[in-house]
Amino acid sequence: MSLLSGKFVLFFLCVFAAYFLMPRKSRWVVLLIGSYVFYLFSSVRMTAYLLLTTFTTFFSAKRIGALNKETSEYLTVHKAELDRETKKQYKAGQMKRKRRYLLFAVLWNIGTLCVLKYTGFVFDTINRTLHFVADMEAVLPSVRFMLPLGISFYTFQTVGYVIDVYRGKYEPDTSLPKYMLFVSFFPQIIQGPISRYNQLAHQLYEGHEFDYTRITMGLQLVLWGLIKKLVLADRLIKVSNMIFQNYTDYAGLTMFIGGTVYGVYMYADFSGGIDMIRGIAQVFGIEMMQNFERPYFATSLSEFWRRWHISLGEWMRDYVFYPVSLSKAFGRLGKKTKKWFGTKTGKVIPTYLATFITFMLVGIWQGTELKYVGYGFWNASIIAGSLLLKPVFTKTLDFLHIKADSFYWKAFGMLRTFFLCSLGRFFSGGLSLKSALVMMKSFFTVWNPQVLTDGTFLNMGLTRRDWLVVLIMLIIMLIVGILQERGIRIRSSIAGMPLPMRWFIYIGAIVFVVLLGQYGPGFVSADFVYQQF
Amino acid sequence: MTKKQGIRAVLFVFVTLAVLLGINSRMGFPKDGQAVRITRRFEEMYRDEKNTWDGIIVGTSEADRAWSAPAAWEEYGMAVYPMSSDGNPFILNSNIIEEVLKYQDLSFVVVELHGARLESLSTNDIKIHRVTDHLKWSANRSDAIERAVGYVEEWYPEQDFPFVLKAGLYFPIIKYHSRLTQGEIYEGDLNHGKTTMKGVYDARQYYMTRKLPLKPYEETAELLDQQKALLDDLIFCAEKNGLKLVFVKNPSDVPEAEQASMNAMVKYVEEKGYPTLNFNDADILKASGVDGSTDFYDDEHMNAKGSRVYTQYLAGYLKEILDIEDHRGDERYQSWDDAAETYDAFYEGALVKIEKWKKKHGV
Repeated sequence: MSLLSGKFVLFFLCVFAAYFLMPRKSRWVVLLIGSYVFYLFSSVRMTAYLLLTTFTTFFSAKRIGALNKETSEYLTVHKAELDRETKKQYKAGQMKRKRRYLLFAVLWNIGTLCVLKYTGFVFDTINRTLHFVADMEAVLPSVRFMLPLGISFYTFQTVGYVIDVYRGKYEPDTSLPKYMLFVSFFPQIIQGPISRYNQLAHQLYEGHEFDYTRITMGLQLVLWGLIKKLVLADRLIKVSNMIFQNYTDYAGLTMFIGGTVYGVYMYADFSGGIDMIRGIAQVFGIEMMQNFERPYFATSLSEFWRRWHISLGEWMRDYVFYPVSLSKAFGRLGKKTKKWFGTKTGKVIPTYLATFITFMLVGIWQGTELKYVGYGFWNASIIAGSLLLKPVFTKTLDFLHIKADSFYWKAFGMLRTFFLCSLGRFFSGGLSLKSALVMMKSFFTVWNPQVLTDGTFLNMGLTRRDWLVVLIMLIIMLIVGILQERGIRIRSSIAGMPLPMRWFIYIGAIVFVVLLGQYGPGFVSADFVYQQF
Repeated sequence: MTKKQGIRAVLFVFVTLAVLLGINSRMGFPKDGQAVRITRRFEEMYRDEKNTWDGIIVGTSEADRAWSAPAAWEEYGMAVYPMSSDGNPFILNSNIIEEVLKYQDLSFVVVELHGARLESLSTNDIKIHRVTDHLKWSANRSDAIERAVGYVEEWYPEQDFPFVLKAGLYFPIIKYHSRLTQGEIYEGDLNHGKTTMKGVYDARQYYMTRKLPLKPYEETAELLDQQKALLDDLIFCAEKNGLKLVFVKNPSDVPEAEQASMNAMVKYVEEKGYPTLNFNDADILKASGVDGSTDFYDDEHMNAKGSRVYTQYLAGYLKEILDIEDHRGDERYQSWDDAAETYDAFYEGALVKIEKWKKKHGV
């Protein structure tokens, strides 16, 4: 059931009515039933995967929680009689038992994700390699598994939960039905954000009052998301598809614009979808985390990734980057690199390597083709490289008397980041790794600024008026972005306006999307791009 | 939620809906030079003096290109209005009749049969839009949409008719909003204008002409169940409303299979006791005076000259078989006198152009 379908509107209205008609204590049950009905609509068979993940993580976390409690109680009761060594031994034993449950939950769920998502890719790669190296026919079958809706999101969310319980960050959930809601909450299961248990669960479980202001705020967010998706994203996808799918017909600057358009499309599509999800959740009184913070205002690629798909970035930081960089293996590596490269450089190399690994994983998470490995490599190498060269940059700025916090340097940083992001989109948006490299080469070797004026872009499925709409949308988003960067809360500001002005804005926005949205017969409104993850 | 907030929310929904419906009414079927004539024709139904029409002619473009209502008015004082559209789905004739009956106490309906010929049997959402977009919001409009969609689903199950197409029939903006960015906004969308000649087709093509090898045709094919169902549906509607029906097969040069099929329809309704006027019949064709060499602008559409000849003949036939009052001199019919005056000037102008064409082509 797509967020953009009439079916979903009906479904939402039913859940909305049922939620607020229920006694407050039982309102979470409505969300649970609604979430499972929503999931069953996507596929009855695939619901088994969701349930398996829910059960394995719930019971593992419960067992880990019990061991945490047992450890703590044992140590309290036997505090006086245990010496330091015995305590240490006891803790190590308990930790080992906990680790078994943790490993089971992580391996089972990440393993399921990997098998479903990457088997085809791995088999194909092996076949291609054998063909290339030994001219052999395919030895492994070409398989493609159907992916359960939102598998990446709910797997990461639940694995994060088990790890947090393991780390003793919070107690495990005691109610399986409530936990089932945490895993399956219907708006977020489509494309995130990847929420943390301590941030989301209690909000889901407590019944929220019917708050008119909050509901209208939520609906405004839904409308804003709808505008981004239907008016901007679904227009731009035509252009990027045209360039990426026919990349041999284009050259030079057109490639760069293709990358730029694809990047803006991804942003409008993904952030539009997230706005809708957050808006729907807000209607039910649930505040979900921000997943985007105006990424195109970032002055470096690493900052861009802190502003883009924030929940994934934070998940990777907490559950990949820190565990990897603080692991014993990396500790040993650090010692060796210090020996090889000297204390100063050798000390930071493991950190850069962990950064590199993390961004490679982010790239591979995006998809199951080599181009995503390329995408990961592009981001990872630039970020790790810039970290490595940071002292050189700092010295250069000092030498040139440029203040790093000056407006012009920041503006330059934004443009540079925008440029690098656009080039990086050759990988994520291109047909293959090869096409991305061809596009990259073309951009750097062909100079053809005339494409901006010779009507090339009027032959890409958008009329002059469509481009005007795109321009208007970009200006609106830029203004909104600037205001938000300055700390102005747009929706609250509008809410403070006189009623006629407010209504003019709301109705104007509705008319805007009704008249200029890409929907209706003849339009195949593209699914949200991150829905496939 | 406070009472004030509740009232405000309801009011907001109403204002928003009003704005959207307003836009919806302007963003329906694209009213280019051609289509706006259908709009004007249908709007006259709502605008004209109530209970002044004697009858209507239903059908496809063959009907309204042929019937010049003012010519019949001038000759016999009868008020017979063309309620047809280009590619008009035959299944919707019943709904058109029901709609007209809300405003006019008709006594008869003339049914032109080209709309049920083989080629015209299948329909699509655009042809349905041409009718339903012009009907006011009512149960009849919903019924028209449901029946038309049901007809497609029943007889053409292979034709994809997704929900969004059907939704677009209820709210045309769903289908046509993209006209705004595709540059398909016409003057007619903003200002429909109105028909000044009681639905006479006055487009540019009307001045042109084409030499047509018009000839009688006697063969009869087997009538399809689908055609029978369409005719029966119309007959049921007319009987339910106490309306007399007259079936007409206009002169045309369509393929023989089509002629045979229309002859079969004529035979079918004759057997049911309805009066018919089949221009495939040699005597009727000759008596009508319709001349294939000067009266058509393509294989099936008459020009101004042919239309007048045809109308006068058909009107005479209607006068003969139906009890139609002469309304000339009745002040309630002033608009018909005005239409006749405009029509005469139009006709004279058209004749001059047709004569020029004839000279040029040695006809």
